[in-house]
Amino acid sequence: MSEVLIKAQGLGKKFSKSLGRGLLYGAEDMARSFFGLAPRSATLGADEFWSLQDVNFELKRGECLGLIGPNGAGKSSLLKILNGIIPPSCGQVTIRGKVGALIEVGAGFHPLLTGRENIYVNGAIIGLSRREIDRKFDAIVDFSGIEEFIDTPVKHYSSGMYVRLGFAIAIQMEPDVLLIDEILAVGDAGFRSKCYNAIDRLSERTAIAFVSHAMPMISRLATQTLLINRGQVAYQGDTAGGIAHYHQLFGSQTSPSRMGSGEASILSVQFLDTDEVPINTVGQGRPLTIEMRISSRIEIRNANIDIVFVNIAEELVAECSTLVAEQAINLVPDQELAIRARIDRFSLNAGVYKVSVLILSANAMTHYDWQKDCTTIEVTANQVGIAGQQFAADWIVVDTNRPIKNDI
Amino acid sequence: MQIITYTARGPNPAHRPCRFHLMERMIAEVISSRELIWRLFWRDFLARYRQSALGVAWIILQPLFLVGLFVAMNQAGIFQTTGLDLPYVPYALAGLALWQIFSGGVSSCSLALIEAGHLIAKINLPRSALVFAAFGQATAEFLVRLAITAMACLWYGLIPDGFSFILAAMATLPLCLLALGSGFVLAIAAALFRDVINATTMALSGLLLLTPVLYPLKADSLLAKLNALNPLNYLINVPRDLALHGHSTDLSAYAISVGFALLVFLMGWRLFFIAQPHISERI
Repeated sequence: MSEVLIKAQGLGKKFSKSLGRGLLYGAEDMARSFFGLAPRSATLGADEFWSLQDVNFELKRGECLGLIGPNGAGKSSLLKILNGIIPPSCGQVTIRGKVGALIEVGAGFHPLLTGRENIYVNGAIIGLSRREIDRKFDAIVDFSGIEEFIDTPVKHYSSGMYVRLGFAIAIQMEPDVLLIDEILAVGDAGFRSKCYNAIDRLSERTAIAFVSHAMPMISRLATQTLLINRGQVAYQGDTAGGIAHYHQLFGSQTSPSRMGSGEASILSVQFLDTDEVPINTVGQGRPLTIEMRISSRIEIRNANIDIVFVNIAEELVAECSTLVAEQAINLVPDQELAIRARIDRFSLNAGVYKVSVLILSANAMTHYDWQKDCTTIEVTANQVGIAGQQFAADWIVVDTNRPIKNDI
Repeated sequence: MQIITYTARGPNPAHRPCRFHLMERMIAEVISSRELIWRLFWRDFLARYRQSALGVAWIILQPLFLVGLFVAMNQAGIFQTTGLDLPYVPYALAGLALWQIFSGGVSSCSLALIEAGHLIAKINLPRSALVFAAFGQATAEFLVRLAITAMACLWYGLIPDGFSFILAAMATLPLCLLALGSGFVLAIAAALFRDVINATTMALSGLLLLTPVLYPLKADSLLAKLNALNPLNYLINVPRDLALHGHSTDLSAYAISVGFALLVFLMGWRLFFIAQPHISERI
């Protein structure tokens, strides 16, 4: 079971920035193919840019490649090339076996047709025969959990139901190569766990290429990672190394910006450890002090000072605010203040976080200063969890003598 | 196990020198996607009439309306049908049914890729299936119109013998091929430049008036001279003559038109097949 199913060699893809020129390039590509001429040269033409450059990897059955990188890095383009939707501009990729894709499931649904009718249409679109669909129909309906609405036109479905049905159909393929694009970000928790189980079952006999911003998912599923940044391979290798490189990249690519009325200003922000030494890395569950220097040109009573933490998937994961702490800080004109926020146990999940600091009015409506992404903090731990907050607990087995009951 | 290598030239299934086996791949693609073609056709057919009060009746209403219009114009003396040795209504209905398979086929095929743009950008499916399925819509309409024509023939006491009817049916095939071939080219062109859609609609309405579909040609007129070079003239009128008269006079010109239709079909399909990998990023 160790045959190579995907082999990419020197893959590159360029796109045109201008629509008009892009269409002309497209017409030229088609004409060259039609007359059997060589494709356009692998150098950039006017208005073109590399969306992806020099990607090489091999993926065997049972392996999973995690594709990570900032938005617009070229991950989805790579997935589209692997899926045969767009051709590479240079290089080649060889795919062995049947390809399944969990990319925008339900793309072929027609809103006026019922769920039942769409199962047959969508099944045919992803390459299932009528007989296969007949055989798997009950499994599809069962997986989607929408038996009740199977004869309702899908335009009356909620977006969740739509995705559930699409996923239920797509997962029925028995692919050799499976391509997944951020699919696991949808649906409710119960349905997601069904999806994980289905993918886990497939992962033993397929080669999976998988795009995600959720590092916990990457660290669980991926056997190797490809970090792509602005079309270039920034790291290729084991998953822990890939995630670490991505964190570094994320930290180095923050671009601070400043908004607000300017009547009060945040002059500096730094993190301190217990010895008051400035740090940028903190162990999970350790104390952390955030020190800010603030000045104001006007008097602000009950100023609301807010520190927010944003993770690598650009999600707001934590906040530390004087409003919630119910602590009044009054700013006086032309006086510089040093303020410290001491957190006893900094319990964010392992990873890098962008930090923004805001000075707001008491009702949080007026923004006096908003230093967006002014610094970063890295949290280290031996294990990475899924959720943003990781509560440290003492786990104790209380009693081993009770008989097992099934009622939880 | 299927092995495909994707390069800048498009997909190449392994162990097949692609240059001389293109036709084989094109045919293999159609055969393997026949289920998909049927489903796409079925989807569009259902969806088209589902949210409409009159439903499938529209297929009948459209040609009846157009023929009614021409009957009225004919009676008002706007154009002459002298030289026509059979009732105007079955003549016009038969002509319209044949015209429809060309014009309906060309216009729905030319929209096939654009209407499935979202699908093409997200899913790897044989794009030619979209065009074949779109042509299926025109075929379905043709069959309904054929039934109306047959009823009109019975009404007027015109009963074609079975042999010439089968001959006429076979003689319709080149018209279908011409429509499909043009549809393939226009689908690709419209995916790149939307102007093609408007131009196609314009050209089709012009062709309907210029081609002797709803009126017979007056010999020695300028239009008759022009139509001597119009393959549509023969591809529509020969099957109609065969069905209604049992014979036709223009067989040599018809044979040349058949060659032309076959060429357009093969070249159009080939162009489409080769161009399709480049479509999804441009649509």
